Amino acid sequence: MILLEARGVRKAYQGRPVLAGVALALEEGRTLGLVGESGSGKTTFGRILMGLERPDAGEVLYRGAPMPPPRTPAWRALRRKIQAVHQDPAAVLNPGWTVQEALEEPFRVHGMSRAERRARIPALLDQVGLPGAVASRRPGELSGGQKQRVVIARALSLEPDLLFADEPVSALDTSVQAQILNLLMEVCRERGMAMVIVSHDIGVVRHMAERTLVLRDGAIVEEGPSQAVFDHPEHPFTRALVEALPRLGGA
Amino acid sequence: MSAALEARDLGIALAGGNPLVERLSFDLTAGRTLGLVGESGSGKSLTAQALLGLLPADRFEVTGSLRILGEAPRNWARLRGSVIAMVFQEPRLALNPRMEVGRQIAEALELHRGMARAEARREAARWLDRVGIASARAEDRPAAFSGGMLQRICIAMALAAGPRILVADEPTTALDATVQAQVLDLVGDLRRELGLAVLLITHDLPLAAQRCDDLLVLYAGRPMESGPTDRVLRRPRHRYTEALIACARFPEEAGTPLAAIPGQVPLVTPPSIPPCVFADRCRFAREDCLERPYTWFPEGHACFHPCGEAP
Repeated sequence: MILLEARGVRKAYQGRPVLAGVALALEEGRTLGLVGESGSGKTTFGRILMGLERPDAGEVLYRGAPMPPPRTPAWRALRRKIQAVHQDPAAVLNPGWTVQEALEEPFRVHGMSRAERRARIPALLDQVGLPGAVASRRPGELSGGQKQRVVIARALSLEPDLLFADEPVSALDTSVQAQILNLLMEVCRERGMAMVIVSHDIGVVRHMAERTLVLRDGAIVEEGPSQAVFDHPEHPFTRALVEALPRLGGA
Repeated sequence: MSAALEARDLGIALAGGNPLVERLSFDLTAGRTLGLVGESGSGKSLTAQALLGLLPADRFEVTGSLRILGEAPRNWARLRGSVIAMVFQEPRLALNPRMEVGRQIAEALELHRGMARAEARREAARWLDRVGIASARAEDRPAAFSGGMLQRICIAMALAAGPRILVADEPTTALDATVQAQVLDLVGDLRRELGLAVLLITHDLPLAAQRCDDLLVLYAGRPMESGPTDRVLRRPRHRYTEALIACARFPEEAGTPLAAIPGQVPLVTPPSIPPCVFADRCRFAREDCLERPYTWFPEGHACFHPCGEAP
């Protein structure tokens, strides 16, 4: 079953086209990679897919129905089902809140009682591999990897169908990146959750996503199974991306 | 041939506090690139600043010996720019947003080489051309350029006065992959052309592996391992290097778990002369790793049970 579909999406800002008719289809429980450089339109496409912005033309369908207009009740209900993890966890977490407060917030917004909220936190922390004692800490006392785990826990709290992961490990230390990528793969598998992963690191996308879209200047230049796209790129731009990425030789 | 820059037992500490960098020794040689590889908190950017005398003396204590072109640095104002120069991660922050880029390069030439204004302008135009920016754009301000072009301009500004040593601190981290490759190609070309000694500071091991002759791997302010790039990658000695290499490689089969190092990079620098700083995350750590003092072995590593030996 198709979870999220975009058709002929166009968007321009002040007359300057950013997306020139892009499309995608994501099945339930699958992972899709989105690759592109700055100015490719991938951020705008992401915002449109998450329902944060409306396209000038074309449509976005969630479970076959058009995405409701922003800030309507139907939109709010749908927003629970699409959650995001961004590059910089420090920018997302309120520095004055404890982890407990940060994790309770989505439940509070969606009208759950205090006792009910509290009861959920230990399981959430456990799922993202954080010890229970972290609940009383503030972001400043956590490492980058721990903060990103909190952000992932928060995204998972409302049991979304789709996780939008925008450069989820770019700001993390190399030795911690693999932990977070493993966690994302694990939670997607366990919950049958779909994921869109945006990354400049082709290795990450090739490993995590079954299919990949390569975006350039607001258009999709290549699309297909990730391994085929990166191992045998057809478009010159995809080839340039593959060649530009430094990598270590085989083990 | 003597080193352009020689650092011996370099130590950096906050005045009266724990050391942030300790026992760092390396040479920068004309025509070669040394990669200083480390994660956050490894002390790599502090090291860069110490090499250019940029750490305020009232806040930092720098120990050990540093020799630039065979001499202990004294007059930093004279050395910086004319002998040793630096390129930073954010070119936008390194340039004056209100001044034409050609003028910014020309100022470096007037200051360090004593050129007259007209001559400096011609030389700046030549440098713009050399780094792949049309010299007709000398009159434009930084806002008119992309990040990659600005970094090229910063490289021109750093090299115009003819320094022998270039310290590049994460010079392409803020750039797109294809632009990153072009900028690093340019640095490599200029290194060969000018016989520069280059220190490339990066968190990105694959990038360092591709661009550097030698590597020095740091962790929590301590050197873990150093040696020729090929040797370090093929036969790492320190267990940390080995684990970091494993993290940078993706398994053949997509979707399978990645090799991860458990735990976190230390948030607080451990006290002076600690046991192995990586022991708490190392799956080969033994009791004595936590008890024996830090030791740098002659083969260029600081591990008591190095790779290739029974753990």
